[in-house]
Amino acid sequence: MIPNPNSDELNRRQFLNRFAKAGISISAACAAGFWFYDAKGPAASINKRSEIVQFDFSIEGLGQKMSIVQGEDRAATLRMALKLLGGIETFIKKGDRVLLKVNAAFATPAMLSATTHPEIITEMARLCLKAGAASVVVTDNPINDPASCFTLTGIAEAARKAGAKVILPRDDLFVTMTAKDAKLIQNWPVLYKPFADINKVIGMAPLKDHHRSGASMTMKNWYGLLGGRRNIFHQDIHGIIMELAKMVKPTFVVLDATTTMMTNGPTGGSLSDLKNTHTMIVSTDQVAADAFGASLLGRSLDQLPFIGKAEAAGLGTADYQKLNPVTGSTSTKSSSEQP
Amino acid sequence: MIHKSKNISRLQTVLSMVILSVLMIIGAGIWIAQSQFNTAVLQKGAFLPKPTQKKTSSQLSSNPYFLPLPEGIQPLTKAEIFDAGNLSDKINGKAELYLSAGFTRLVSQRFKDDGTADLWMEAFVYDMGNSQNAFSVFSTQRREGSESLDLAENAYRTSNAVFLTHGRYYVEIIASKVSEEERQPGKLMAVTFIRNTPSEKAALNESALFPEKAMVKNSIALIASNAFGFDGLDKIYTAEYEFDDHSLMAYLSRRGSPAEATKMASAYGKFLLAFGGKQIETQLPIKGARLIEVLDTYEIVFSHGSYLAGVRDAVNADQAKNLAIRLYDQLKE
Repeated sequence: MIPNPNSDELNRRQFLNRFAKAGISISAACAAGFWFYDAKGPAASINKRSEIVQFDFSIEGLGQKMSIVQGEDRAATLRMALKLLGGIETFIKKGDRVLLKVNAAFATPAMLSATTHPEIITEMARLCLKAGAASVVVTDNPINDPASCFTLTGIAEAARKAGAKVILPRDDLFVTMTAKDAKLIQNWPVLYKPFADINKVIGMAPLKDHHRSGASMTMKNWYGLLGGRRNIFHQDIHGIIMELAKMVKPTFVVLDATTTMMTNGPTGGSLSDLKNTHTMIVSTDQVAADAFGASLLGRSLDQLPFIGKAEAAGLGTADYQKLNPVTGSTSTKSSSEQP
Repeated sequence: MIHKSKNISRLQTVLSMVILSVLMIIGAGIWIAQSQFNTAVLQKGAFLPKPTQKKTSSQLSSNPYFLPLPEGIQPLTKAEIFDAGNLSDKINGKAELYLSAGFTRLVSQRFKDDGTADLWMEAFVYDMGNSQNAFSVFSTQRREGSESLDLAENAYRTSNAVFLTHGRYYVEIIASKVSEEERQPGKLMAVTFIRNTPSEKAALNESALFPEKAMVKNSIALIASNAFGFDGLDKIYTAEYEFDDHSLMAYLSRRGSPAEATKMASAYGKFLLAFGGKQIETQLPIKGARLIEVLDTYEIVFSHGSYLAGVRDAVNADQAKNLAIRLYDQLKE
C-alpha cells in the first residue's frame, strides 16, 4: 500500500518511528531516575568526615573517689567535700585551664533550684584560681535564650564575681562530631570549642526530678553540650544520658543536693517542689554520684535505667558504698575519714 | 517523507507546551525542596535554635491576657509563643507532659515589679485545647500543702506562685521571690486573665462520681495517657483515699461504649497478670470485677456501663473491696 502524504492518518512507518522515539524517551527518563536514585538517603550531616570525640579530663591514677557532706551553706559544704578528697589541689594544678560545665538550662531564679546555684559556681571558680588555675570558664547550651538564662539564674554574675569567664553558646562554637562507640551521638553538633584549650573539666549539677528521665543529675548535665534539635533524643533519654557520660570523662563532678527538686522537674516553678536535703556530693565517679543522688530523690535504680546502663558500660559503679565515700558535716564540723 | 505540519495540530502543540511547562515547574519544585532539606536530619545550620523557631510579639506590652497590669508591674520581656513543635525549647523534658495531654500553644512573658527590688514574674498561659486537658496538667502537677484560691474552679497558690485553670487554659504565674508583695500582683494578674479571657463552662466529668467519704482533699487528678504504665489507659480520673492510715486510689474513666469499657477492664487485668499479678477468687457484688494481688498490694478492676473503674494500692483485700463497692454504688446512681 502506498502512503498518501496528504492523509492525517498514521501509516505503519510513521507509527513505528514514533513508537521507537517514545520508547527511547521513556527509557532515558527511567535511566535518569535510576541514576539519581539514592537507596541510602542523605547522610546525617553535611560534614561527612565527622570527628570521633572523647572528652577525657580525668586524672590518671586518681581512681574513684567520693565525698558526701551535710550542711546548709553551699560554699562551706563544697569546700569541705573537696577537702575530704585531699583539697582542690588534688585536682587543680598551677596553670590549669578549667571549664565549669554548669546547668543553666532555664531562665529561672536561683531559688527554684532548676539550675546550678550561683554560690557554688563562685566558690568553685575561686578555689580553682586560688589553686593556681590560669583560667576558669563557665559554659552551657541552655534550653531557653542563653543570655537570659545566664543572667536571670545569677550564674553570669557569680562567675564574674570570682574572676571566671562565661562562654555563651554561638554557632561557631559547635562542631559536628561522633562520640566514640556511640549509637545516638553521631554526626551531631557538640559544644566543642570551649573545650579546645581546656585541661580540666568540672561538672556542676543540681539534683532534680525530671519528667522524662526520672532524674537530672551529673550525667544528664552533659546534655547541655548538645546542639541542634536535641529534643529528639528524648525518645531514648536513658541511652543518650549513658552516651553523654561515656563521651565526657570529667576531672570530677559536683552534685548539689542542698535543695532538691523533688517534683515537677526539670522546670519546677514553685518552692513547694523543693526539699532541703542539705547535702553536697563531690566525686570522680559520676555514676556513683548519681546513684547516691537517686537515694535522696527517693528513686530506686530500677526507676533510673540510665544509671544501670552507665554502669554496664563501665563508666562507674552504681554501688556508691564500694567507693567508701568520705562523709562530713559543716554543722558539726566532724568528718569520718576514708579507711 | 512525513509532513509534520499536517500531522500535528495546533491543539497538540499547545498541550505539549503546557505539559512540558508543568514538568519544568515540578522539577524546579523538587530542586528547591532538596536544597532546603530538613535540618533535623542534616543539621545544616541548626546548631542553635533559630530566632524564627521561637515567635515573639513585637511589643513588650502586647500580651493582652493580663492587661491592664497591676500598679507597678511592667513587662520585662516580650511575649514568647511556642507550639507543639518547639515547646521543649521552653520547658525541656516537661514538654511530654503537656503534649500527651493535648497541648496546642504556650504564651509566656516576664514582668517586673517596679516597687520591689529583684522581683520579677513569669506568666505561662498554656492553651490545652479543652478544659479536660487543662485540668489534666493542672491536677498532675498540683503542689502539696498549697492554698486553694476561689478565683477559679481550679486554682491554688504557693509561697511564690499561682496556678489555675480557666476553660481550656492552664496558667502559671511564678515569681522570683517570696514575699507578700509578689503574692498580690500574681493573684491580681490571674484575676485579670480570667476577666479578659472568655471560656466555655467545664463539662461535667467523672470527678463528681467519686465517693466523698475518706477522700483526700484536692486529690482528684486526670491522667491523660499511659496511666499506671499501661499504654491503653488514657483519660483516667483518679482520687486518693485514706483508710486507717493507709492510702489507696480509686479511678474512673468514661469510655466510648459499655463494650469498650468492658474490653479495657479486661485488657488492664491481663496487663497486671502479665506483670506478676495473681488473681484472687472472691465474692464481690460487682459483675465481672477482678481482684488482683500485685507487688504486695491489691487492685480491683471492673466496668459498669460505659465506665471503666477500679481501686489500686490497697494494703489488703478488704480495703480494696470496701472502696470498690462504694465506687460501684456511686456509678449505679
